[in-house]
Amino acid sequence: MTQYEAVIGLEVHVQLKTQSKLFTRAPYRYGVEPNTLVDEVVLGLPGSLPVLNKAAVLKTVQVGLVFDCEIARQCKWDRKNYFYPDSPKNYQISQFDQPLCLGGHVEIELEGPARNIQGKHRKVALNRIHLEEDVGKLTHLGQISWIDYNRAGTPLIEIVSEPDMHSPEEVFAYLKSLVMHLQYVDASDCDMEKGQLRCDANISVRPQGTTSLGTKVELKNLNSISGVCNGVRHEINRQLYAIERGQAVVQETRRWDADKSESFVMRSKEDAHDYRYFTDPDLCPICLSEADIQAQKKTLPEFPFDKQERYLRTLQLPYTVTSVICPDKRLSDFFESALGFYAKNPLGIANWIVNDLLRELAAEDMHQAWKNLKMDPRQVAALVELVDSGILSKQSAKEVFDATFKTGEDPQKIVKDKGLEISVDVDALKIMCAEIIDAFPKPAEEFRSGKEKALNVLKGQVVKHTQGKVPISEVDRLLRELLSQ
Amino acid sequence: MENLIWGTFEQLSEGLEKKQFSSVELTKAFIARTYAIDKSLKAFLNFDEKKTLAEAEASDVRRSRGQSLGRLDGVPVGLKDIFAEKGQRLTCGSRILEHFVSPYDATVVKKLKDAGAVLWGRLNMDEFAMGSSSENSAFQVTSNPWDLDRVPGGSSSGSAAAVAAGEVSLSLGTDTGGSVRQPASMCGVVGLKPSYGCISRYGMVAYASSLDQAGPLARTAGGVAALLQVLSGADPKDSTCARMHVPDYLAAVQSSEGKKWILGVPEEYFGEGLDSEVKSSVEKAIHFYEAQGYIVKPVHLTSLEYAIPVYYIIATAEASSNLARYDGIRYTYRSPRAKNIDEVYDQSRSEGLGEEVKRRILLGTYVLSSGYYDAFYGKAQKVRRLIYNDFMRAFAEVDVLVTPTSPVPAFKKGEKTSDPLAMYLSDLYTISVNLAGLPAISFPCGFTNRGLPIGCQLIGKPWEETTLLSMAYTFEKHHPFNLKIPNL
Amino acid sequence: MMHSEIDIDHLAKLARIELDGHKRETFLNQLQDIVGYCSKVCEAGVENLEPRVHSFSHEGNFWAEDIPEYPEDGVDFLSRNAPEMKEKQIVVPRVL
Repeated sequence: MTQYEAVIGLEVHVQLKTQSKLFTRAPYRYGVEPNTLVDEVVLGLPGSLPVLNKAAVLKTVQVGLVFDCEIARQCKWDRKNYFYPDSPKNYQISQFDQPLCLGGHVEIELEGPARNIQGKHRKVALNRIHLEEDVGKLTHLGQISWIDYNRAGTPLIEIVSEPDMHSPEEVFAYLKSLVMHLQYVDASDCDMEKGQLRCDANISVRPQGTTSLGTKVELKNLNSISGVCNGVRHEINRQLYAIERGQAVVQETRRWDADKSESFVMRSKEDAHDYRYFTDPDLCPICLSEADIQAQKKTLPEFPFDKQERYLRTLQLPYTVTSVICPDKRLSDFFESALGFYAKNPLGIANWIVNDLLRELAAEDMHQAWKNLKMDPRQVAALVELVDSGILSKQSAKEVFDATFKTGEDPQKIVKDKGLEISVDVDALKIMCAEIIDAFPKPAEEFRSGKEKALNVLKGQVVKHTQGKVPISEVDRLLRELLSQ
Repeated sequence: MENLIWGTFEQLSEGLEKKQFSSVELTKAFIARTYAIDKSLKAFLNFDEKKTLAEAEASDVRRSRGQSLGRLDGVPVGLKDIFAEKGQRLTCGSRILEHFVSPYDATVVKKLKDAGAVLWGRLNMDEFAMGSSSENSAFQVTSNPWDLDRVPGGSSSGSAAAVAAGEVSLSLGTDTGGSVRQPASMCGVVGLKPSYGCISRYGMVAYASSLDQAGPLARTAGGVAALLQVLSGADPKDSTCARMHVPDYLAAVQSSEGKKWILGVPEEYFGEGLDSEVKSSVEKAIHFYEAQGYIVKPVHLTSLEYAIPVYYIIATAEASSNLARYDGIRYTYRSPRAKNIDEVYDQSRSEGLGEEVKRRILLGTYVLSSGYYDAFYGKAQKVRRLIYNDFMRAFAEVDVLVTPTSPVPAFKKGEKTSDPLAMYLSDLYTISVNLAGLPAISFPCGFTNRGLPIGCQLIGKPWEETTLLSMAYTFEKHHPFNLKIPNL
Repeated sequence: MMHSEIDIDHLAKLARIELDGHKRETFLNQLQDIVGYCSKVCEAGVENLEPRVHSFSHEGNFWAEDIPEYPEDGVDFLSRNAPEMKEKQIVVPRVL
């Protein structure tokens, strides 16, 4: 029986994080009172004209450079003509045949065989990235629709992949990588719930081993990353089912309904729009010099997958730790900043960040938590250094971390104020060690006969009896001294 | 005070400066004239007398404190109803915008206010500037001040008629294919279409964005120069407005003894369809310049035959997109019949837009639509290049081209309304100028035996407005046809 | 002339203009005349010419810095001319 493979391409719309709109200075923020962030340009009032926002172009160039696209030296603006109530001018200013970014690829990481093992990497080819304006928001209630134009005119990039993915898992990895990279260059927060990232998928199937594309179906309304994967999986199965029953796949646009886990026909091929694209006579072409492009290149940070390689190879961090720190630029910036204060123990620092800091931050809204964060990287470094140098026990360190996180006070001060330093009465400790040796003759004997590990049993007992408030290095020294007598 | 209205801009500006009369007195004279004649002339769509007089009073206060804002301060200026003025209706001569009140000022309006001009009235026009006679206005047909049975030309019909009839001193129109020059010619006033990008289009309702330019009208070249001085120059709100150095236009009209330019006379503009009286008047004007020491050379502009087809393809394509926003959803007329969203669109537009506008939207939709784009719109863009190159070739030999503005003097109302193509042909001599983005001026060069004004057109190289103004000024000093007063 | 076939109903649908029977005929005839006349552009020899889309000739980019300006009037800006509004939103008969 013929084996089939799926071929998937994605069109992802991402709202750019600029201060003002693409063609006017009105700002955009999510969740603001309806129709308050509008002006004559946003509403397309008679006589109004667009003026391009420089930052939107430069941010798009940055995104293009992240994905290794060729940046157009010259490109123009086109009008895409269609009537819809959320579109104030009944045309959208977009880029038709001269996108700002051409080609390129997105590196993705597939899921590994286990959580602590790195998965395979591959590159998904991009077709283009272009810049355009967003439309307003429609809400349907009863017999009427409500229109809020606040969102209209917000800069939107459309990232169009080649039909270069073959499974919902690849789609998932692709979107994860897109989001990670876009957040890295601060192009967008990519919050799908706020509509900052929207996705349409083109899906077809073909016999394995063939190269021509099957009839494609466009799937719309994929509102979450899991929604995309579920929708894509469902559509692949729907097409395979049709083929199994000897039916042809029909070229059409379908709408995914996540609640019903079902898709419905939106429009057939015959209803395809005639957008009557033409060059917008109100706008000048964009011209970018090699120097302009190089200048944008200089603004780019180290990319997350490169960073991860470096952490794995140079810092010898375990994969699981890097897979938490690297995708989040704020975390990795925090980590590297802490490392700048205390470079001797990267894993120690990383563990505090991955386990404790992240847990505390996740307790409330992440964005808010980062904004309100009182603890700085220097303090995490100091904490690790205090433990490493035997001044603070690991157990007490937790207490110090919590206090610094809450108050922002330096660990050194907290240790001092709370009297958490390991103050050692060497004579008393020596007596206790002697008592432990007497109480546990078996491991003591084993150590004397050369079994190094047996010492840990004795150390553990000392720590237990002192509630951990002793420097372990000192315990180690005293036990050795006594056992050698 | 009655004769104040017939003062030239130069006389009025000087009179205000010397406090021979106040801006309020001057403004009231124009208002009185408007009340007296506009019932029959119908140049004004609406006006706000209180607002206008308040502006005049403010001007007088400034002047009394020695804080005059310049030559335009206190002078009444009329606006074609296509320029957004905050708090005023902005109809564009269309039902679909009948009740629309602009919440913002066009850049030109802001510049006029900053120069102290007194804004008097909203002037009639062909709907969305599509037309050559005012007969496409949804509200009224303006009459020609020289013969009330005839049209004033268009689409800036009210702007030309009001100036010619003494209802306002200066006015502003727009010119996409001749809409300032052709009515100026038919009403016997001076009208300038500047180089593309000379005056900001921000707040000027778009018909065909790549061709539209605002243009001043006045009874003298000096008045046109004064308006241009204030209006031209870069605007951060209009990407297509040139970042230019604004020359001293006023100086250009004060020194008529300028350079003797080389004039080109394009044979194609004097061919079939040209009225014989128009022809002889324009030829006389050419002889005048020759007598003044200008060199006159015949030239060829063979691309003229493509001008109208190219214009109607490009202008309507852009218009079909520019006018899509008038849809009954946000701020325009919404049909009360509409029961669903499709009907809101189809019926609001069908009821709110006039015949000619619909015709041009359909044509523009056609030339852009899939399967026809390359043959029409794509091709027209290339022919547009051909027309531009044709002009540039001529300008390698001559400085200025002299032609008639309109092939015919003002025609009778209703004469061409049934045949859109015949109406289009009346713009034959003005259209290429917009396609090439050049400056051109129309000034009165004579009258027909019936007493209808005839306009002569001068076409200049890009940014040579000063040359055109200077030549028009030279002519009017010797032949003051522009000072004739219509018998109303 | 070429392209004399005009699908007037398709154009009216694209342009969102309702045409009744009588007007439909008139428009169709007029458009056929005008399109026929405009087909003259097809005769022009322009194979080697670049299209001319604009009449301006800017050097460099025309763009603005990303500095937000909060609109003064907000909703009032819209409500003054809106054909129908409820709770600060434009309302239309249900879409979809």
